[in-house]
Amino acid sequence: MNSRLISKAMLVLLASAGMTYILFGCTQTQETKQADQQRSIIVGAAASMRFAFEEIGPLYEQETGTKVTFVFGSSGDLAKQITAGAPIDLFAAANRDYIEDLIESGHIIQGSQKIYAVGRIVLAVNKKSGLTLLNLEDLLADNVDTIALANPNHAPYGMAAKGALENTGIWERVAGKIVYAENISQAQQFVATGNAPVGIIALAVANVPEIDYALIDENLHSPLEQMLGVVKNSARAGLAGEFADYLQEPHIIKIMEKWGFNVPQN
Amino acid sequence: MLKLNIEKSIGDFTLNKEWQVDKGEIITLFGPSGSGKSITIKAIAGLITPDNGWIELDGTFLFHKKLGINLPPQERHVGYVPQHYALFPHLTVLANIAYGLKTMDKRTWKEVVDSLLESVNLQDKRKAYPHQLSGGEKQRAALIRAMAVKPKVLLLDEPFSAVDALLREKIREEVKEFLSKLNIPVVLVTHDPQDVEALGTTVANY
Amino acid sequence: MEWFPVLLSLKVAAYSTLIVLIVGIPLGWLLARFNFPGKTLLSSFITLPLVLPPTVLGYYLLVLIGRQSPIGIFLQENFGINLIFTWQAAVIAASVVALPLMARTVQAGIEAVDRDLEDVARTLGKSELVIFFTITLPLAWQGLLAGTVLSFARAMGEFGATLMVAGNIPGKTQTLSIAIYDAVQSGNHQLANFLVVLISVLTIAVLFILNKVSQFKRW
Repeated sequence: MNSRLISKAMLVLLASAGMTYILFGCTQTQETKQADQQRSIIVGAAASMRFAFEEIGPLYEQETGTKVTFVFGSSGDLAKQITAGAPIDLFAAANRDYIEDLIESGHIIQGSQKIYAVGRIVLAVNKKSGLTLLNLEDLLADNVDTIALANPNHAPYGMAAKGALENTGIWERVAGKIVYAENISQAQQFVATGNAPVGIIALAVANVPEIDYALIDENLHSPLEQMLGVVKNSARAGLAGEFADYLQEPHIIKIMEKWGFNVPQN
Repeated sequence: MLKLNIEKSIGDFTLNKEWQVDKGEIITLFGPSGSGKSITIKAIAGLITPDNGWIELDGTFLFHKKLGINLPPQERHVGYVPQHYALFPHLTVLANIAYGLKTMDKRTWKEVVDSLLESVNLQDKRKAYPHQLSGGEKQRAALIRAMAVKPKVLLLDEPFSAVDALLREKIREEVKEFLSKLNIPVVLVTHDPQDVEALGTTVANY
Repeated sequence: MEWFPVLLSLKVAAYSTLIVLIVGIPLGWLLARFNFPGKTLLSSFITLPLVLPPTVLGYYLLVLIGRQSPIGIFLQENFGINLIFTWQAAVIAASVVALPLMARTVQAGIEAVDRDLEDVARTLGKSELVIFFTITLPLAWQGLLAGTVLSFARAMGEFGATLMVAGNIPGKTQTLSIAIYDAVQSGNHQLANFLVVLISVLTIAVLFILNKVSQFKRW
């Protein structure tokens, strides 16, 4: 019986070795097959682009036959993933810095970069909070106890929000009330769920039933220029470039504007 | 013939013993718990390495510090029955006894196991699991499992401690009879003076 | 309702449980029964994924198996494989977070096996490996089962490290946990709620079945 048990153990090991082979052996063939079957690209996009891109994606597939898959995340995470070799074809970041850094490190094709959207930040208030805020100074009021902000250390919209508060001269006085979210979507959730009655968030994600908002003067912060670039490792750089161009077609600009972005003419 | 002279320190306690036992004889290691009896038989079995000294069985060294000899337990040919018998709980009596014999072909080991089972009257229990056996049956199963591999010495650690007092006398007689038929040295550990008296063997005081 | 994330999560959990069994059993054995220099260090190292925040773990993995790492370069040059943003990367992430659970419970299971049994087997002439497979492992089966259950459940729920190395690609790497995150992010609360109930029911069902099995006693 000893030998039987050992042979059983060997069988299990062999089977798992086989499975490991299947697991890692066919990765490549599967991917190439997918690429052959359909023209498709993967776009890594900043969280602020979610609503706009989810509307544009199906439209693009309909018009050109190229399927776009979006991977939404914080620009910092996406940049790290691209550096690690993630098969992203086009990177639509939330600011210029990430793209410019990746060009310098050789991960994004020099010359492919362009500003595809300029964002706005808004003062957002939960409708059920009973608060009415029109400008940033109103945040000093005693009945405002918590203010949601995307983390200014790595989220571009958070940086802009902090800049606006600094330029208004109230940063130091409201700093104690601020709660930091990981990214702009999370900051929006804090306000939408009422866990933070107020927040400074992207206009792009402010248009939900739970939230009232007021635009913040653009001159109070450095411009939220969102830049994109084609990833150097991409096997479908041509298709990626086509999608980048598509973002500047008139009917797409309208969609971008609906979601709170300005699209500069290059 | 088993001869030894060993030294072993564990914490503050230092064991230093020298004794010998001949073929067909039993030596009883007698003393309070913590006096190093179990350490001694584990050293003979090769499960513990002494700090110094030597152990000699039938003219060959199992262990010799200065000569750098230290055979692993697998090569020492000792039969070992620990305190609570240590029958493998997930194996039947048959599989327990046969455990050390599986290098032989099936017919041979079946014959060996059958005759061993008959010798201690356990033939009806071959398919039972250890938890279904009485104390005495466990004792006998453990003894024949150790003897199945034809050891050159038999080591018994507190063979009666797990048996309740009423049965102890009967089992003592059974074991005594079993041991008397063996033509190898037997080392038996106990802390019970009654065991020493009843067995009437050579004693090494610990 | 797209069932892909459910199937992917089950697949990832099954594969990583298998991997963790193969790696975790020898590790548990090593920790339970052998003394060697650096044992404490190894023990702490194995526990690391249990205490590190999953996203930090994700960054580590990204650096470790990414295209620029020695492992990534090796796989790329010899097999043309790039792991990042594949479901296999999700398997790796889930395996890393589940390994401490497996190794620890197997270790505890083995430590509970009476050493006298192994000692007797040694005097009966059996090698350490034979003893491990015929005595130690069968008797430690409850620890093994507990480890399997915990690892599977942990792998099912894995999120942070997975998002980092496997990304959030619907139909390719989007596991159930990531689908929930995605639904919440896009404000689809109805879907999010449904998926939360689904993953809870699935995990409870698996845990329940395996707990039932573990109460069954063979001897």
